[in-house]
Amino acid sequence: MTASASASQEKFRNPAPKFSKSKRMMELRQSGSLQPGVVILLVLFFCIYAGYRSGDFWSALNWQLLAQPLAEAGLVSLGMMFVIATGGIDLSVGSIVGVAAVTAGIAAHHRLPVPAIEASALTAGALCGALNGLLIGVLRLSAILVTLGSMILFSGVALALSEGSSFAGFPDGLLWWNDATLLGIPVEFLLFLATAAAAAVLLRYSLWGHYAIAIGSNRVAASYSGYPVALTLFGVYTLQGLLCGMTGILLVARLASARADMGQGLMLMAIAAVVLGGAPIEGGSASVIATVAGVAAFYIVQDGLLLLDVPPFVQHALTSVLLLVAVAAGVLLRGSRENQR
Amino acid sequence: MKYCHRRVFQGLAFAVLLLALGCSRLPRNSKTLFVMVPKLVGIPYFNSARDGASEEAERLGLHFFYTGPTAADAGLQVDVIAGLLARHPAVLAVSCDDANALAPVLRRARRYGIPVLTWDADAQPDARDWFVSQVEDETLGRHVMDVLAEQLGGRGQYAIVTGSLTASNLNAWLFWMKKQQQEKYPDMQLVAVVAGNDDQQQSFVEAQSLLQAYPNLRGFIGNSSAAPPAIARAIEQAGLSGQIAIAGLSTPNLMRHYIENKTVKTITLWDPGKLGRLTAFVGAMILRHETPRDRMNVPGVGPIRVFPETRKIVMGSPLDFTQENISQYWF
Repeated sequence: MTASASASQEKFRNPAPKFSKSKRMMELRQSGSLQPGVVILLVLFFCIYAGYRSGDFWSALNWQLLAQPLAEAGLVSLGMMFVIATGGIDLSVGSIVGVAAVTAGIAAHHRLPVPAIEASALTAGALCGALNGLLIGVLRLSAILVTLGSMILFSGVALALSEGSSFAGFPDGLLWWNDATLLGIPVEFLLFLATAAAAAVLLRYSLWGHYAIAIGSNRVAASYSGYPVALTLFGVYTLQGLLCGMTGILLVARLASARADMGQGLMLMAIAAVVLGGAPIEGGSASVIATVAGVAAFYIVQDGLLLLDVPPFVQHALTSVLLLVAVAAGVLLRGSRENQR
Repeated sequence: MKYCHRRVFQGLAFAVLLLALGCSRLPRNSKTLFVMVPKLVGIPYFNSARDGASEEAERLGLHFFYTGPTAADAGLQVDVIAGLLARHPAVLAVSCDDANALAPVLRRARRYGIPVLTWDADAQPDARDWFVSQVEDETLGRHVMDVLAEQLGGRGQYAIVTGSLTASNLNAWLFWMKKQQQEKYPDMQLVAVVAGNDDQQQSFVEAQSLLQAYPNLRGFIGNSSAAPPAIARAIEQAGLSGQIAIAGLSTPNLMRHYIENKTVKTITLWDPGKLGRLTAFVGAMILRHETPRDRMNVPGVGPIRVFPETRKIVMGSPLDFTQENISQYWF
């Protein structure tokens, strides 16, 4: 039994979170903190190994190229972190990215200026997220059912808007996101770091972040305490939609084209990254550093395996072995720590 | 507590063992590294191309590396290529899943000084050095019409089942098929062009309704690899085997059954193994700073056509699969 689950049960029996909640919250936040350490150690270990075997692994070029897809998946993972912290899940992220990309394609087709293209993609993403938030937060429907439905709905919308074809001919101002670097670091990655910092502040120091964690650890208790549950959930899913919109813009810039099926692999990647970072899938705990470590681990290992001449089908298998080893190690170590107490 | 520590130590020992097994350093062979990327790995068509290319690359002293996405997805392909750029290959050869989506990463490769070839499917022309193409559209279209006309004796009604009405390569072939018929076989009559959307089931339904709508129909052309097997199945089910001729473009694996039971006499495509061989050959020429010449003879491939103004290399003639030779091909 994990620390967070037992804590939430205890709370359920005694719904008086007024004075105990802040202390509980601190404990919950720390409970998963061993696993990111394990992940970082494993990845460092892998990096040393890959760097020893392949002379290209530590080249600046490799890390530059690696940083771009990492930033895109990272943005979606940050949103997913909030969603999972509230005890929910968002299966529709890949489809929202597709809607945002296609919207950007249509805007570019009508020769709108670059800021307008970006704004329309972000708005489309946020609207999709807001629809999820409305159904999950206000109508209190199950997150997995709602987003399963909206995953199909949004990808259908994206396909219908684009009529199944791909858009090209984006202005250079938009493609800037792919080519620009600052001190050798791709701006895409800097944008991701800035967003991650903002997410950390939001999670740790804002009331809203506090509400999100509280809802995840015990929704009933949170609503008894007068927390704005519906509004918080609405915000969480809208933010996820907005981040998907950002990812859509970055993907469009990197591929210089837009298609409805663009974000397909991102959903599993984002969920896996959050879980790899040690966040309990049942909610109530979140950490930005752990999420960033989770998503970085995936991309670093995948890239390293490619440089080590590992065949593509084996790469998939080995990457998922990383996930299982890290989760197993995290749970084992956490178990031993609890026994000590 | 103790038990748990033992587990951790066991894990570490296992990891050390793995390391010891795989500790030879990989050679940095980027000066001769020829990297070939298909649209996706694991399908017979691209496996066949890989075998041809690896044989030729080995013969020419190149270090051959073949990898690609596990699904036909342009985004995945771009990620794979971005990862490969870090190895700074001497030549990069890509069969592009999407001409637009692949262009930025290929342009970046060229900026890093890596010569880029596209093969099988092109990218935007400014994103690559040369495009190694299988067959010229005109040659292929005219040839397929010749195959059908020979079986029909140059007269009678025929219909065409194509993939989709928007695919530019299919439309180019279609154009030359019609042109060849108008110029050389005036007694033949095209009754319909329908789209099966590269789907066997839909092509099958289209072929069935054509058979009902035109009782005097004597021939079919299937203009996408899913169409000929579907047409053959429709003809077989209608009990018309041998009475209605079929020509078109498909792979030997899809058509083997219908060629062996004589529903279909001849099916046309090109040899992906030879295409891979030619790609590796052109890659080696670029490394030696040579320019491909028009009508030069490539060992194992034959004479090729070179169009310097469009930077396009064409492998040559299409390949017909018949009962005699189909057992030699597997893709």
